[in-house]
Amino acid sequence: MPRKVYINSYSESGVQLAELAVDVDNITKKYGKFKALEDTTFKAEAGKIYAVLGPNGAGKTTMFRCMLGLLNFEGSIKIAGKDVRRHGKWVRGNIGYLPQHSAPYDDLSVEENLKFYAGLKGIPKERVKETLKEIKLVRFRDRKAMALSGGMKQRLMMGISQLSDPPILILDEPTANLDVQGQLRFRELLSDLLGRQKCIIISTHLLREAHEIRLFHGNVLVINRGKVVGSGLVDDFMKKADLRDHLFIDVGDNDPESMLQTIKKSGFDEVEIHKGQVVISCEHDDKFSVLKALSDAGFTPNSFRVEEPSLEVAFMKLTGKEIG
Amino acid sequence: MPPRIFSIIRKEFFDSLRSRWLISFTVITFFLVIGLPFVVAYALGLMAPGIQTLISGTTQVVFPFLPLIALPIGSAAIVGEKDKHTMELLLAQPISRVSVYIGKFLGIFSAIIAAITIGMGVAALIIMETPNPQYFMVLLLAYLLTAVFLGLAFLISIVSKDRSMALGIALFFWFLFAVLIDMGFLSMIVTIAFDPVYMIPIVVANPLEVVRQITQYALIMTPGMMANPIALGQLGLAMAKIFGAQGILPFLYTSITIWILLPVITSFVLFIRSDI
Repeated sequence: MPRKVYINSYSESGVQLAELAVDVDNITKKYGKFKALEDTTFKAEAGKIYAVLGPNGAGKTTMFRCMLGLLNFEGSIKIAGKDVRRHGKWVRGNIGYLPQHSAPYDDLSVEENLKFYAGLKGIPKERVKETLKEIKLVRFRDRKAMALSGGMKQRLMMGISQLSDPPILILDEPTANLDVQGQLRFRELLSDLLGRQKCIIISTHLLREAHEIRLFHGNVLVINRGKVVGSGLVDDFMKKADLRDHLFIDVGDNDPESMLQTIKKSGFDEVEIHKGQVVISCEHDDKFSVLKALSDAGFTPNSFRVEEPSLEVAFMKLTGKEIG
Repeated sequence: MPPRIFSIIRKEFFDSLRSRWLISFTVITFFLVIGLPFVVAYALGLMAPGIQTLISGTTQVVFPFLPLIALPIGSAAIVGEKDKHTMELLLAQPISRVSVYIGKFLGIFSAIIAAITIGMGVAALIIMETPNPQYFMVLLLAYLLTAVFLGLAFLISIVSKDRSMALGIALFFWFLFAVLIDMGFLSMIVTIAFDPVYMIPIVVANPLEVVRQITQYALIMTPGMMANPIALGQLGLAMAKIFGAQGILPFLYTSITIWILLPVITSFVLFIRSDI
């Protein structure tokens, strides 16, 4: 029986989010002859975080816009079981969206901006005061949006997306304009939101950010040229890319050639000597076996270090191009 | 909780009222109606204030400038939001595009109506001293003209790539209707070269002219004058020949209704169907 989570406290629907929050099924979006998305499939569950990764122009924003019913597309998208085309208003009422290049109304104050969107979302004005506290902009409530710093604007935008406390959050490049402090605050916010069983989908072209998703046991969806080229838990994704760890052993007083032979005899073929170090390419879980084999043969290396494959390398392997 | 569309209407209304363009035009409209020479002549006792003079003056002097209020403000309504990156977030809210369009249209329309009512109405009250029902008809025609040009401005706003392009196209349309298709000159050419009947499509093609003709036949001319072929003029005779003297006004009202509906419906459909 699917787990049901009661989340949305402000939207009129008071939606019970099924375990499968987002079901993007085989969608294609064309602009003339150009296919911005091609047969894209993506599923997201409640209480989980997803990093949508891809270079600029890969189709991340297009997919989000389709999910909100802002673009026409082929295929099917269901949010909490409801078809986006038929229940667009309902869907948008249950998704907090932070667009990549969006901005608040410059000539309205912080509070006026929040009140305007509260009116559109049909939620009580009292929620505006709560949101002002949450985004820590109470002191700047009367300041015009045009006079806010980039980080403050981003906080205001986050506040707008969370006004109705929606069960699903779609954040398109949310940390693009944030300073270090802002990014740390954003990470805290993510942790808090996940604790409340939200489904969070974040797009980024920054691998560092996607790596951080790993901290939340998050998933990754890699899009390139409108196609999904990889998905799953960040670790699984790395495995799928068939990447190996590299173990660098400083030989010290030992004979490097003897060490190399010992390692090869233990069943590790990808070994070489490089700048006074023995370099072994092995599976993530095999590193200890290598060290044990050397120890059993009486070698005492000076030191060693492990280089785990980066998401960037995995991405390049899968797509054949760099992120940027 | 008021319907969500009111949030958009209210925002657009106050945004438009805050615009310097609208404030300037309210003042300009006031002075165009009140007409300084007229005030001087009246003060010297050389001229009595008459409603016919006021109506005629308003339609000839003020009406050509009215599109200049709706066109610049309306042409920024959609493309302006795209330029400022606010449209995507607006459309991502739990509100239909129908409501967004209607909310924007009604908000801007009511702000312009307020400005016209203040600018023209106060000036007319100063001149007339008491409200005249005929002048309400002039105001109503000004509102209709505003609806035409606001619909056209929305259409321009939807098809334009950016704000400056939209403003350029909008001003071109004002120039086209207020200056290029000048009836005085065109009617002379058409009458001399062809049949006066050809003046009818020229009138219908210009909403400013349609409204001017409505003022002429509904407010300035009396029923007696309408029955007099000489008083009808070349255009009136041509229209009477096709629609009958009684059919002139219904024809003109139909024309202005089409002028309102056509751009509004077209822009509405384009806005609803378009990708952002």
